[in-house]
Amino acid sequence: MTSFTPRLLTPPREKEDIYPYRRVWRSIILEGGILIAIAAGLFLTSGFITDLIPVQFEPVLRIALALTPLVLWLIFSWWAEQRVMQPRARLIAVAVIGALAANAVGEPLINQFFQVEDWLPLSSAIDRIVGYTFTVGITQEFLKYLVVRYVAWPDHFRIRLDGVAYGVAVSIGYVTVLNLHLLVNTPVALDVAAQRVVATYAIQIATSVVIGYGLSEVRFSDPNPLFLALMLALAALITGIAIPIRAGLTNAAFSLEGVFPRPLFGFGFSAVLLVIPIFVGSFLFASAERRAQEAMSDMEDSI
Amino acid sequence: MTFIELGSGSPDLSYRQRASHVIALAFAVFALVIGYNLRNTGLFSTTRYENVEAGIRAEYPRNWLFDNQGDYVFRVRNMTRVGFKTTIQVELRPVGAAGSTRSILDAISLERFQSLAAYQVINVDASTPLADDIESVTMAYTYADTDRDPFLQSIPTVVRGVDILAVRGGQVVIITFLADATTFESDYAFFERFLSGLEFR
Amino acid sequence: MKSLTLIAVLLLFTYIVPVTAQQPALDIERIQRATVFVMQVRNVEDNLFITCVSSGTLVSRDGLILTNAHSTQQSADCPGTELIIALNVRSGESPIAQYRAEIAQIDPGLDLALLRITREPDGRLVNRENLALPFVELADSSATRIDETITIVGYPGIADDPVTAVQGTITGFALEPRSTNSASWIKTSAVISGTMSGGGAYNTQGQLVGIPTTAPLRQGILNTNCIPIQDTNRDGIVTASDDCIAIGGFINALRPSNLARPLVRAASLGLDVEVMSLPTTTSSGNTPTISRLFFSPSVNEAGMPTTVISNLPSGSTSLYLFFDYANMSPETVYELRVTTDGRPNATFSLAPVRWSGGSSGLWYIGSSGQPWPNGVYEFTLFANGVAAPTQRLTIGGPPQITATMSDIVFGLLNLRGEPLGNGFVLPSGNTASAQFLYRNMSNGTNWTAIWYLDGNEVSRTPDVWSEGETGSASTSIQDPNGLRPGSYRLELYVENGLAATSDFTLAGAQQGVRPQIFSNARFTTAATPAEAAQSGAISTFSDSIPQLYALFDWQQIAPGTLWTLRWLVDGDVFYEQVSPWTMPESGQNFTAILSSPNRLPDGTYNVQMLVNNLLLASIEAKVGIGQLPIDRFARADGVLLRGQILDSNTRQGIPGVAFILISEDFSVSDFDWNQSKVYALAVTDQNGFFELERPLEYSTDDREIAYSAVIAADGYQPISADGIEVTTETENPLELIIYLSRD
Repeated sequence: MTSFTPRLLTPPREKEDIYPYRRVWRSIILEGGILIAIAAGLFLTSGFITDLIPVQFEPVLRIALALTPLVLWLIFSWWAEQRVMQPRARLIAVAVIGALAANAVGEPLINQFFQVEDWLPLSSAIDRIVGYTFTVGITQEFLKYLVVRYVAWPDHFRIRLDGVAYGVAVSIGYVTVLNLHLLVNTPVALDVAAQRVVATYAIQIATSVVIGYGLSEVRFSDPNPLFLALMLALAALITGIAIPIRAGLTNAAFSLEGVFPRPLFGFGFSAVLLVIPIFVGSFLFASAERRAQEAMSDMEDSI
Repeated sequence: MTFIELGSGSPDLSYRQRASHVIALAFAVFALVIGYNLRNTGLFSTTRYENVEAGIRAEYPRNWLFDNQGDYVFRVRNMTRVGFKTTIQVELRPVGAAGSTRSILDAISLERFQSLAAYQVINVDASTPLADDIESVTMAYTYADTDRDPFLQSIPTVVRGVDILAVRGGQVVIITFLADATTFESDYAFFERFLSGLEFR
Repeated sequence: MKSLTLIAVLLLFTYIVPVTAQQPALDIERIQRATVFVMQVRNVEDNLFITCVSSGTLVSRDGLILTNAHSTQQSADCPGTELIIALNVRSGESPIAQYRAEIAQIDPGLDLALLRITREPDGRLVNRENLALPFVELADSSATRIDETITIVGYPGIADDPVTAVQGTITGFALEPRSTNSASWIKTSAVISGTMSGGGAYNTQGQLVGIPTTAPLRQGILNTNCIPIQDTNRDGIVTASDDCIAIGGFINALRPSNLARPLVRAASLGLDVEVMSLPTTTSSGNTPTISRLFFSPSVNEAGMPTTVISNLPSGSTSLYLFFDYANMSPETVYELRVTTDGRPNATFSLAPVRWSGGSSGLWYIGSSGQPWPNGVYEFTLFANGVAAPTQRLTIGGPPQITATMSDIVFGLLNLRGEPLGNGFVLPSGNTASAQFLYRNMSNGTNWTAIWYLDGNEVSRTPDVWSEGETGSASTSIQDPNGLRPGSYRLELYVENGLAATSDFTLAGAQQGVRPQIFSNARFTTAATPAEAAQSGAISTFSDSIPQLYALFDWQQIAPGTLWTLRWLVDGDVFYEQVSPWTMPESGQNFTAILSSPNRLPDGTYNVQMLVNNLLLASIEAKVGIGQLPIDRFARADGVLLRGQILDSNTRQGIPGVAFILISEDFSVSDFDWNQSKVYALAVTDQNGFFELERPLEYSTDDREIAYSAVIAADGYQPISADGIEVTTETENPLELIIYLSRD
């Protein structure tokens, strides 16, 4: 039996034809957007929810909230990864090792060695930014960098966006540990927990884009040897700036009417913190890709 | 689209790539060292205090509340500590020619039996030398801090204390450190640094 | 024209309506928190039994409590040995025992005591410097007026009842000797239960104007309300056979706060005066007696009746009931019951109170500036429940024209016939003359002058009046050997009816027109009284001293003569004792010692000696800088700042967080963590609640007071602010909810 396969008048689009990877930015936007929606929903309805559900289920709800970024990532990144032609093989490993590093090294180093809670909140604004950069920021970003560097880089970096994918993976591991520490160890109110989960997620994703960009550049370009260190410093600085600014926005000034937190400010800042790096990151990655292709076509032309 | 096909072995890294990682590692270590120094500065920075009349010069933790309006040379309290406020206090008392450190310790204990709840001496140790090799005696004790506002509802805190006594020219110097029993060990670093900076003239 | 009229009216209004500064509203919560429940207890085999109860009021932040003496001082009625103080910890709930106290100052006669909180209930010493208790300020009680609204605060029952506020008005004032500047009692219309005795009565500014006072009579003497609440006889049940707590009847009288000021001053400064040879103030055991009741429409500056009356015309506003008393003591309970046309008159009656007049003498109780309605009044005085003969007086109708003698003034005639003395205190001499006014006399009327010395008749001169209808006359007593020093009395009778009477004191040597009784008065300091007697006079003590000796010599003052010793610091009285003279007639080095457990505070100290309100000697000395140190915690009014500090993550209170209010002179940027820059400090309790130890002062147009605040806790973002101001418009207490956020 002869089969007839009609020939297309126009060939399939080259991009679709040759892009066998999961689209990272779309996953991040989906995960971030859904997380913000869930958190906003919880924030607005926390009063009803607290009244509705029995007290004994509250810890379950908090744990569920803590795991939400991980679940979203598993659905929209890891599961989606399995359905593309060229899946990224080390995502789970990076996420798990990132979580272990956070729990075994990162949190003890920050809380017990640097004792940041004992001196940083009481410092001046500039001191806090510098302090958080060189303690919390550098610890977290260095750990995340080490995990990606020694688990996925360079073998599993096939395209530039692998840097973002693995960066997000390690951040998800880190975020999950931070969320569990916050929500399981302290009786955080549900609406506050929702806000904190978004904030932590936003900071980690923002810095993961920077670390991923640095690793990708080192892998695919041949940047100045200081470039990676610079990206590490930038990621640490973002953490160092984001923590006090978010806290400052959330914390109201003293007045004789009282001092009440402003959670919406925190939400807004977290959303901005999530959106800007994605846009900037996608632009930078696109630019780098374009530069690489131009360089390649120049090379081909010269041949 | 730039992509690299995964091969069986790790790709060879260029000198620049290796240098990037080495520099990143070096930077991270350097930054952590800076962070450690910032932490030390933040936690252990001090304010100088000098009392010519009492012949005492000291460095007490910065941003601890300084008070010299009581029956002591001075007292500093860590007001940001949640719970019992970790306290360092220096006091001078006259001592007779026949007075021994032991008798002074007894007198102090008798006073505290009158005023502190569940006051209990843990041990007396004669092995803590102060600055300029001044011989001293250390007394460790505990009590329940019940200093409270009767209109509020506070639970007593178990406080651990250390007194270091040194007889000096007809006077006994009593250096006291008080902290919540649960944070005593971690807070003791402040006291050790205070003692190392304490000078008598 | 209309607009001009309107403007004129408006201008008139602006003139007649004074622009007054806004007064803070009565801060009833602060007052209620400053009101304590005082329990006198007896320790029987390590069990504490309540023996007497009363209300009390904190008058200083370091735990001075103003209350009644009768329920706190150990006595037959109140045999307890310890004092337990219960505080009104939560509004609307029973008080909770928090401290033990001791008597710091006491005046059993005035029935006022100052207690000082000294120990925790378990016996540990309280560091009074660390106490920051709510307290009230004393008002100038002499400024109170009839019909003024007052609020009485106290505990209306035994232990279970929460502190209660009762409103009423001032209905009158009762006057007694020795309190010439203000009333001895403030009468009120408020219904006050017996256990509120010792509490406080407050004006609309929240200042203490008086102390509700009644002394419950001993069980068995009158039908006293006495309640057994504990199984004191250990028979397993609480019955009438157990010891009961006398709670007294209703209270209608307040001890004015001005009478408590010396006690408060002495207690707050820690001053104690020890006087050589003061008579004991306990009861002699003889039955108190009250006799010779008579009325006078007014009293003179020496506290003597101007005349004697048996009726008053309509519209009279002043009346005094005089009487002699004997065998009285501060433990004696006296009471005045007045009826008008047979009906009890609460306005002019006085509920049972302690006796403040010493053992014997002439006394009065009266009122001035208060209308007396027409009617037939009967006055009955009780001493320890035993009634003296009732005295009757009619008020109403036009002034009656009767023979009257009045305004007796005494003088000692010297050799040139000139009068010496101030009218009521005369130096020693041979002839004492009394001048008096008379009206409506008729020549030929029989009249008699009777002179007494220390209660014994020494001269009687019956005579027939021949001086005419109206004028001034005199009578005298002579002794060629010199009149003996002592307390004299003259009674003038017209047709066997007492027309006028007055007492005077004869003491001291002649020196000018006044007697010299006290001489060589001086201050010194020494280790012992004997050493002080040998020391020279010192008027300036550059360094703080533990004791200050006041010494003086005396001459020709008869034992039993009432005299007054008064101590002042910086012009304010902190000790005043009226007592009979107990030393020989003449002598040297009478000693009074002023001491303090610490060293005497800097100040200018005065000692004054008086007889019959006549200042006879005064000395002054400066200690230190000659001025009392400023008490920066003296102000009680202002806005109480309190609230709760919460974790913004958990919304739960954070225990142990410090709230630091920086003094108005400094901003947050100036604050270098120095206690001297801290105005007030608070640390949160287990639920995150805090309460500043001092109220915030009101900011006014004349004086802007802006505080700064710092709230800092490890792990949380600090909160700081400048420009914190409160005014009389600010809610009081000011409750703040403060959320602290973590980074």
